[in-house]
This record gives sequence, structure tokens and C-alpha cells, in this order.
Amino acid sequence: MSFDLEPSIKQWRQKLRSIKDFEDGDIEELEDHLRSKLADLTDQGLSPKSAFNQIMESDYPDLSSLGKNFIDERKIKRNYPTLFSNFVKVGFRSIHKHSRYSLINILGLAVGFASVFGIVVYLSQELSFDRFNENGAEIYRTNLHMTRASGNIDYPIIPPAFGPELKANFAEIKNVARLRYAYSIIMRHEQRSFFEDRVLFAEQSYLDMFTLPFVFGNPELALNRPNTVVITERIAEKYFGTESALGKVINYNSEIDLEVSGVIKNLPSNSHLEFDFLISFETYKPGPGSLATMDSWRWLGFLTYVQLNPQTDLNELSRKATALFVANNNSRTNRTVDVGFQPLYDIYLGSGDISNPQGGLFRSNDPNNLRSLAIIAGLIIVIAFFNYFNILTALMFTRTKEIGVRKILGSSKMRIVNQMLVETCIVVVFSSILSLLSIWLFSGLDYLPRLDTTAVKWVLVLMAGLCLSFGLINGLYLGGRLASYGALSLLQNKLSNHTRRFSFKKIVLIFQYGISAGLIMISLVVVDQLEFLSKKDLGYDKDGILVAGFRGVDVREKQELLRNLVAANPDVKTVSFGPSLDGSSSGSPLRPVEWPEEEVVQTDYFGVDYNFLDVINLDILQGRFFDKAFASDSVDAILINETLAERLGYADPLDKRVIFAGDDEFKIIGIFKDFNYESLHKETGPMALNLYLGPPRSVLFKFNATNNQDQAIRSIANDWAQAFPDGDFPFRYQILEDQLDGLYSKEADFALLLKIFTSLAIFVAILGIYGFSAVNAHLKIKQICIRRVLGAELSQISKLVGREFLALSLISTIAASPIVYFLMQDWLDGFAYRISIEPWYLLVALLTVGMVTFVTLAIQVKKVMSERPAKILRAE
Amino acid sequence: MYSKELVGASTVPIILSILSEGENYGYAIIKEVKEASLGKLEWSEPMLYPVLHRLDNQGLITSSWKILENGRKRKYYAITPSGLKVLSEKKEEWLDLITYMSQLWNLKPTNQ
Repeated sequence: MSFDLEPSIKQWRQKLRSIKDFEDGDIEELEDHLRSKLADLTDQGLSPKSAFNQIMESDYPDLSSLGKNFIDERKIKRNYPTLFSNFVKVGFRSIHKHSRYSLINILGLAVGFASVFGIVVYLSQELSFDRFNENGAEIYRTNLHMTRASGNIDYPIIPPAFGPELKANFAEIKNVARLRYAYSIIMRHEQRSFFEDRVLFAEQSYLDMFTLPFVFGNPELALNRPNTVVITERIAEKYFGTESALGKVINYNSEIDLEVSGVIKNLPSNSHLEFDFLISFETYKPGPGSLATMDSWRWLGFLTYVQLNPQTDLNELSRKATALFVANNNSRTNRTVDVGFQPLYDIYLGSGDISNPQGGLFRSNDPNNLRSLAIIAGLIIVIAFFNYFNILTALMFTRTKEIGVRKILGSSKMRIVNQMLVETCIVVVFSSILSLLSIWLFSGLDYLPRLDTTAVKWVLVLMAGLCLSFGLINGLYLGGRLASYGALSLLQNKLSNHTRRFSFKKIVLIFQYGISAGLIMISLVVVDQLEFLSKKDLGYDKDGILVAGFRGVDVREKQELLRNLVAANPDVKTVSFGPSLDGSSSGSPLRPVEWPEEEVVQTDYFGVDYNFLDVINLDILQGRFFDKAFASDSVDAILINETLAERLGYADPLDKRVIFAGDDEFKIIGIFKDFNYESLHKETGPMALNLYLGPPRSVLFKFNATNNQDQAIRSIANDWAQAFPDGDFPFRYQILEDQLDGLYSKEADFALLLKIFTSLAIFVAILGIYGFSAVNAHLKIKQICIRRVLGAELSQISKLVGREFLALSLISTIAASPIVYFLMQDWLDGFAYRISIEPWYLLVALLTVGMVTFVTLAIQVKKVMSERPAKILRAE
Repeated sequence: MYSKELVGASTVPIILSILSEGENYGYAIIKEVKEASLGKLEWSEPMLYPVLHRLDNQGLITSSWKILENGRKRKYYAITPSGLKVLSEKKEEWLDLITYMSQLWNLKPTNQ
């Protein structure tokens, strides 16, 4: 029988394979060996058959035991998974054993992480404004920067004729879109009518430039003819329910029928423009009696966006556009104008200096608020980290026996470090999952925006980073320290735990206390300032006033009817048609007749009726208010405030004549005490009141008895329904006080965020102090017990445990106060009317921090005291 | 043939010494050891390869597969810096031991 080498080798290979103890490559390596040896033996003259048999006999006598050698050498490697699962098991056991501290750790970390994730989600939205526009990087808003003697103003709105000329004159401008706000108007479909705030007139080019996904309709044609409207899905559902909106008619202010030519997705929450209706631009007509026309170069009334070619030289374009504007505008007044192009992405956070009365033109935010929140997030992380670090370090001394036994049983340093690493990572990962869950639960509520992919991305990156850094640093530090001690000193619990005067531990504690105390003081100042603003005497009586706006609708024919109805209403004292007192006013130059023409005082004014004084109770210091008895009042009477009187410099201003509102001459009939008609960010400037009997902007109702406000509102609503019986002009009102609070809504929002996150930070810090002092009390338990056996009083023992903490907390609070002082002084400088920073803020912070520490320690001491000392001593 | 204990104790130093001269593969190592020891040390493959694998795991040597001209694969081993360090430690131990034994038995190094 002839011998075939290859099948024999194959057979041998299969036998080896069946043993299953080999890893990839082992058999190949052995085969190479076999073949090399065969080659050598046949070279020496043996036949393949006897060479093969000889090798099998000498080297592979027992195939089954062969694999065992290979496995044995691989033992260490194979053991890793079981080792890891053992770590995890021991880790969970230790977490369970110290369940109180573990709970504190996990809760503290979870709250800390959740606050930080919350802030990150918020920041991610605020920093992503308008980025959803695909062409966003090429889009700019055209702004006008005006320099006058009285100051600089930036307008985001430009004259209607300017936009088309920009495109016609400059090749680098690819596209221009003009927009006009319609403010509040009444929209009606069949019998249902609503006030709508978010209405814009827009050119077709707006749809071409910006990214607005259409659900129905043709985005290329939707706004290219008069009397069409594009609505959001939300509005489509509100007006038409499940029916198709396309082609339906919505009536605008009882004037124009608009055909729905498109339905777009609801705007993302990070858009600086907000709207639900886009009416085609050709539909827009300047209001009746308006002096301006659509070819005006002076009427600052149109948001205008341009799309530029990439690589456009912005400065050069600005210069050319300014020249174009100046050439056409030919204004008489003494001012210089610069045309600027503001990148779309900068609008939301970079428009602090741009005129945006009541935030009515576009949304914006102060980047300083974002910065403050980011800093708070950082502080919370620092507190949470120190907490965890402190508690872990303190806990380490309760685990010496376990580690000592491990060492004696032959655990290497590396294994002890790994054990600690696994334990800290379990806690950190668990906490971060908890915090993620809570963020997910709370997202989409009031202040936390809905999670989007960028936010989720950021949160996950942050989470990975935090888990890694928290777990690694703490695990390595702790493991390293424990591993460095000898087994014997671990077993006897003789670790160097002497307290140095300036140990690292103390510095960490000072930080923790300092940050918490600082945040307490900052919140106190912010809340106090906001309280001060809402309580400040505005110089007029703001109580019991209800404001209803007419939103541009001419109600003159109904005005007297409404006035008479209300006059018969016992709940209403007075009614006045005029300004809305929402913080806005008109402005015009004013000068005494004898002054030269170029010398003027820029003056804000309200056009009011005869009843205005009765509604808001102004103080008339000299002269009198408008009076029907004086026929000339309706022609040329004017009242001025103290500040204006001072500016004009008359010894006795009464009956002096001034040029105001164009070229008209007015006679000063009275002087009133300054009152705050604007946000308290600004100081009251020169101000005048003139009699105005044209179409009013709003109506003010003064209640008779403020205690029955609801009843009064109901009876006014009744009168309203009688004056406007068609139901096509809904009664929408606001209490003046709420409206004024709205002037500080940004501050209030910020204060709320600050309060939420400060409380969370303080909570985390308190948890930390509690946990840390608890572990420390536990460590001193032997000492305490011996003292108790020897007859020490509760007070002495409290002193023993608490003295150090109390001293540290007070020192760090005082240390934090100067930083808080400078920060808050800077913030307060943004208000014309502001509180001063008083020592009692420091006092409150000291008391709070001291109290929290004291109570925490008291609980600890009480716990220790409730145990039987003999039992504890025996156990030790 | 040497005793089992002696073979066991000398395996690692010998492998490291051979690899410190340059990378090599299992069969060649066995052959070299056999020739240099004048046939007194004859390692088998079930004994050598596990040791090589262990040293690989410990990081004292590294391994890499190479394709030969005839298309077969062969695993080569090379010494690492920490392998060299261990080798020098072992060398010291063995030299100490040999010196001590020589003193015990009044032997003089042969200068052939």
C-alpha cells in the first residue's frame, strides 16, 4: 500500500482540531513545524512514510493530553472575564453594604449630571439658532446704523425701496427678501375668528432663500402673487382640522380674502423669526392715511435679508450700499448712516445693540446669560466631583480590612486598583444613566427645550467624558492609595490619617462651601433686584388698570359708544384712549421757539385724551392737565416732565412756546413729575404729553374697586361685546401690572433658571457635606465612644465632630463674598434703577451654610449617640 | 538527557537568548538547541509552543506570521525590550549559580 503524505497530514490536522483546546493559529504553527521536520528527515534519506510515523511516535504519542499544555499557559488570559465579573460582583456588594453613602453618591452625581446635561441641552439650542437654514452661511440681515447727536441707534429695518435697489445694483447680492410684520390681526375662516400675533408679509424670494419644508403647495410659486398665504401645520389644523387647507380662504382683518397656497412644517424652536402666516408681499398696502409709500427711502419698516455670493467683501459692499442709501435718502437731519450686513447666525446672540422694541421684531438673547449658565454648569460639576471624591476618600478608611485580606491572599496592586476602578465606574455610570433619564423626562417642558440630535450628541459626549474622568480619577487615586499600603497596616487600620493644617481635603472642602455660598449670594441679589423692579414706584398709579389694544384697527366710530357704555358701568371708574403703557413711546425732536434750528432735545411723547390723568394719577407739579374747558388745548397744548423742563432751562416754563412734532408750535400748559414709562433698564428721559384725538392705539380701563377685579373684567367684556357686536373683534386684554412685568421677562426667565440650578447646586453641596461629615463621624466613632464612656456631654462631642466643619464653612463663605460682589455689581450696572449690595446678603449666606452644616452634624452625632458604646467598642 | 527540573528551569533563558540574536521560529529553535547542546537537550513541540505563547502574552516576545516562498505560513518570534531585561536578570542568576557551584567543587573555568 502506497503512502500518501497529504491525506495523513490532513487526518492529523482534523484530530488536533477535534480536541478544541487550540486557538486559531496553534494548529497552523504545529503543521509548519511538522512539515519542516518531515523535510529534514526525508533529506536525511527516510521515506515520507517512516518520517511521518517517527514524528508521530516521538512527538505526538498522546494527542488528547497535548492540548492541555496549550491551555495551561493561556490560563491568565482566559481568566480575565471571570476576574472582571468578580470585580463587578464585589463592587455591587460594597455599594450595597454602604448603601447610605452609595445613595448619597449616586443621588449627588445624578443631580449634578442632570443639571449639567440640562444646561447643555439649553445651550445647544441657544447656540444653534437659524442653523437649520441650508443657505444660512450666505444670508445676512441689512441693518442701518444711525449716528445722531443724541446717540447711536441700530435699526434692523430699512425702507421698502432700498431692498430691490440693493439687488439691482450689486452683483454680489444673489437674492433679496423683504418682510413686513402685520402684528396682531384678526384672521377668520367662515364663522371662526382668531387674533393672530405671528403674521408676516414676505416676498417669494424669502421661500427661495430660507429652508422652510413644504407639506402641501409649491414652494416656488406660493407667494408670487397677491392675496395668497402660506401657513404652518399648526394653523392648518387650527382652522381646517383634518380637511386639506390648500386652496381654502382665510379672511384678513375683514379686508382681504387670502387663498392658502401652501402649508409648511411648524418652525423649529431655534428660529430668530417666529411666524405662523406668511402673506404674499404684494398683498401688503400701507395703512389708510399713511404718508409713506412702497417707494419710500425714509420709512424704516422692513426686515430685509440678502443672500450673498461666497467670498463677498462685506466691508466693500457695506461702503457701496451706504453710498447708495445716502444718495437716495437725502435726509435733512444731522446724522450719519452706515448700512451693515449682519450674518444670519449672529442675529440671535449678537443683536444686543439693535433696536428691537418689546422683542417684537425678532428673538434674541444675551450671550452673557449663556456664559453665566455655562459657568454654573462648571461649578456644579466641580462640586459634584469634590463630593464624590471626599466621600470615597473618607469611605476608604472603612474598607481597609477587606483590602488587607485581599493583599494577604495575593492580590496584586494592579488588581486592587482595577477593583476600585470597577466600583467607581459602576456608581458613575449608574448615576449618569439616571440623570439621562430625568433629562429625557423633563425635556420639552417650559425651560428645557426638546431634545434634538445635536443636543443628544453633546450630552452623550459629555456623559462619556464625565464617566471616564470621574471613574478613572477617583478609581485610580483610591486604588493607588490603598494598594500602596502594606497588608499589615491595612489590617490593623493604621493608616496615616493625621490631619495636616492645609491638607488637600480641606482645600476641597473650602471650594465646595465657597461655591455653594457664592451661588446663594448671587441668587439673593438677582431675586432682590427683580423684586425691587416690580415694586418700584413708577411715578404713577399702576394698580387696577386693564389695557386692551386695538392693533391698528380704526375704532373711532365705536370709541364714543364704548366710552358711554363703560361710563354706565359701576365697576369702572374711568376709561382713557391712548398709549398702551407697554414700555414703548414715540419720539420727536423738541426745541423752544427762540432756540436755533439745529439745537433740539430728543423727546419721547404720548398722545393722550382728557381722561389720561384720572387713570394713572400723574403728579402735576405746575400748571394743569388738558381740559375740555380750554378750546385751545386741542390745538397747541403740551405738558412736559421735570427732566425736559430742566433741559429747556426756563425759570418758569409755563406758557412758553416750543416747536415739536415737525414744525408745529405748542404752548406748555403744565409740568408733571417724571414717571417710568419705559423699562427700568433706562433712566427716564425728556418726555411730553400732547392731546391726541385720532385713532387710538389702546384703551385703558381704571377699575373702581380693585378688590373685585374678576367681576370688573367680566362687565367690561360685556360692554365690549355690545360695542363690537359682530364678534369679529375679540376682547383681548392684559392687566397693566402683568404687562409691566413683561418688560423684565428676560431677567425673570434668567432668574428662574438661576434659581433652579442654584438650588440644585446647593442640594448637591449639602449632600456632599452630609455624606462627608457622616463618614468622618463614623471614623471617629471609637474616639466618641470612649469619650462617652468617660462621661463626655453631647455638646462636647458635637464640638469634637463639628468644630472643623463649621470653621471651614464660615471661612469659605467669607472668601467667596468679594468675587460675588464684583460679579453682581457688574450685572446691576445694566439697570438704571438698582439695589445696592448690602452686607446682609453675606449674613444670610453665612447663616444658611452654617445652619446646614450644623444640622447635618447634629443628625450625625445623634445617630452615633444612640448606639451603645460598649457594643461598638467591642466590635472594633 | 538532563533532568526534567533542569530542562524546565532553563527553557525560558534559552529561548530568550536565542531570540536575542534575531527573530526565529519554533522548529528552528528546537533544532538550534539540539545542535548547540550536542543532542542533550531535545525539546518537543507540545512543550515549546505553549512556552512561546506564554512569553508572548507576557510581552517578553512578540509574534508575527510570515508567508514563505512556497505559500505556507510560518509564525516568527522576536524578543522585546522587556524580554531583553528579563534575559539579563536570568543571565545574572545563572552566572551566580555557576560561579557558586564552581567554587563548591573547586572547578576552574576551562579555557579551551
